[in-house]
Amino acid sequence: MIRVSGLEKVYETAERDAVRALAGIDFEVREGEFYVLLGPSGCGKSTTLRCIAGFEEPTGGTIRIGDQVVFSGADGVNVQPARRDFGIVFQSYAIWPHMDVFHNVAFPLMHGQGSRPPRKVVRERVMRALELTQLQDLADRPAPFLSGGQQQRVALARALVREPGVLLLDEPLSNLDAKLREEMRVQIRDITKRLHITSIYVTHDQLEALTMADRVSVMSGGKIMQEDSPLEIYKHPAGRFVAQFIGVANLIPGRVESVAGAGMGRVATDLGAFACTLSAGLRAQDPVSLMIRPEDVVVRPEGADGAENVMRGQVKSVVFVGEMLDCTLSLPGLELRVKVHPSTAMRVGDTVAAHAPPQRCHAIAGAV
Amino acid sequence: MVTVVVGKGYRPRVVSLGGWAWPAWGFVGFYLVFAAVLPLLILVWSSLLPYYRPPSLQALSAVSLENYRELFASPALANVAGNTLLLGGISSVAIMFLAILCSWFVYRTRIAGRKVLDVVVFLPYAVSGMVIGVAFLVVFLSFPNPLYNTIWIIVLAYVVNYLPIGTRFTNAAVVQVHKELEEAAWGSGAGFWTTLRFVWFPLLLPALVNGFLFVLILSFKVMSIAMLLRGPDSMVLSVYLWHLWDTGNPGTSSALSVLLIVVVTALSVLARRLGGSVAGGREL
Repeated sequence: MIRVSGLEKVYETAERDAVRALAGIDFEVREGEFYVLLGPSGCGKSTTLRCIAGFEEPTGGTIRIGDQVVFSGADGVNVQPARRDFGIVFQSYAIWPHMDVFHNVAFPLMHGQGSRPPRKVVRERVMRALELTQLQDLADRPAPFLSGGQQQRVALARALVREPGVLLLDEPLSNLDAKLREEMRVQIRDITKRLHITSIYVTHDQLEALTMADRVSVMSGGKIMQEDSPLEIYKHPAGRFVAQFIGVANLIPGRVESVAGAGMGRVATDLGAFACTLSAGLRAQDPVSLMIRPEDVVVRPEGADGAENVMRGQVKSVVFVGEMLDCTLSLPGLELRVKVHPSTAMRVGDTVAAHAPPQRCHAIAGAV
Repeated sequence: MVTVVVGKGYRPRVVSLGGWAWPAWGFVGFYLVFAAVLPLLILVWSSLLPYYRPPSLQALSAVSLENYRELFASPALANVAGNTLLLGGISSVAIMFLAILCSWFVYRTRIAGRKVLDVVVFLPYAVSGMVIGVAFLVVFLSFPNPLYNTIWIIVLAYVVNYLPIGTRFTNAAVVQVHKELEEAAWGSGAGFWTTLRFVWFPLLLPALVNGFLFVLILSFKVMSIAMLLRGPDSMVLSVYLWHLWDTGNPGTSSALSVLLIVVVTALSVLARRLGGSVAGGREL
């Protein structure tokens, strides 16, 4: 379990005004949960992780790992990194080049806190960690002779060998190629779930966040913009930043016409009225952005009928991407990204009607 | 204008000089003969004669190893050589140890005053060794202390004088070691000294060995500080050399010079080989 509350980090710089890297971060990671901090570079996600590890000293707030308060600005507590109960995996792998695989992984047991276990126990535990990461055959390999993927697995074994209460992962897959990233996404999630270890995973890659996380926090400008399950965040982003950062979103400016209850309502736009879901707290006349995901649009030939949530326009471009057609429709006043099945008959210049089902349209507070 | 910013794969290239190869050789050869070979030969020549005579066929008949015999027969030599090794060894180890701490402090912490430390440590580089020697003399003469007249005051002065050189080696090496390599050690539960011992020391070893040998060589050949601060029992080779010359023994002082050159050259070759092989074969 990890609890972070009111976390602040201000960098004092001589040349410029102070930089507020973290402006009050609150979240809690439950036992055994895989929690992802997602955001663009400079949003404070890595700083948050480094504060939890103790590599950076926050300027305020409290951090608790399990039963231990490792940082408290108010009480002047700041536990050294070595005395915090976590294992960490870095983006750069940080495998020590002067040791072989075995000794890299054995290091936390041999030189960590507490008394050193007997040689036999060290051997057993290292081999168990290596088996977990499928490295048992590489134990004697010197670190410089490992591929990137192998190095990352060594780093994971090293982070897990002490069986820490918490696993911290700082963009661990960003230096790997696409194919390997996909494999490692599954492996890492698998291993953490098998060990039931509480994990915090920092990434700027929405795909990693969506596929791996139990819960995601989307960060921007040193704040958490939204915290929820990947599906909820994707379907019901709390704001325009989240809507556009995760996935592709068409945003249509409008105004709430009426609130129907059960989270549904109607929004008036220049393209007509739309039945849609409403973000919590929206009331009639509030300015909103109507979000429609490209894959939720159903394209029908012109003249189908006058059902609600229908937009009419011309096909402006069609790009074949393999599993789909990535199209742009020209509507009065805006362009709509649409993804349709490759078998759909779509040609540039065609006039079409695009239908967006009410359950898949979502109104977000604030106009475009 | 083109600026090339690359990491790996940018190496100095061999450029063909074409017809200029021989003039280039000639120039380098000319320089070498006058700057190094001739002075060295004269030194060897004079070390073989009882008193100095310009090289000639008649003088050749006076050539002998008498000066070397006399040098090794002198009871002072063992003492002086021992002092030199002790002084050089202790101060070089101390300097490299302090240098690694300084570099870590300056480059890896955010503690206030770290930049000041860097400047203060480097300051003695701008001051002549002679001046540092005089400064130590004045300070340690002004109050009763057990250091004056012993080898330890020279060790102390050497540390101050050569620490800037030590930190040149460690600064360059420390910035090359990725910060996450040491954070991985902390994250593994290792404290400062354990990290220093098991992660930093091995990774910085090439630079440390190089710096150690560099400072050791300097301590062997530079005289000013040892000259000013030595007591009757803390004479070192460079000072002994001067002493021999000054008391009218050009022959034995030449012989000692030749010995020093051999030792220092051997150390330099060692430093180059170690530096090349260890640092080059490893990717940090």
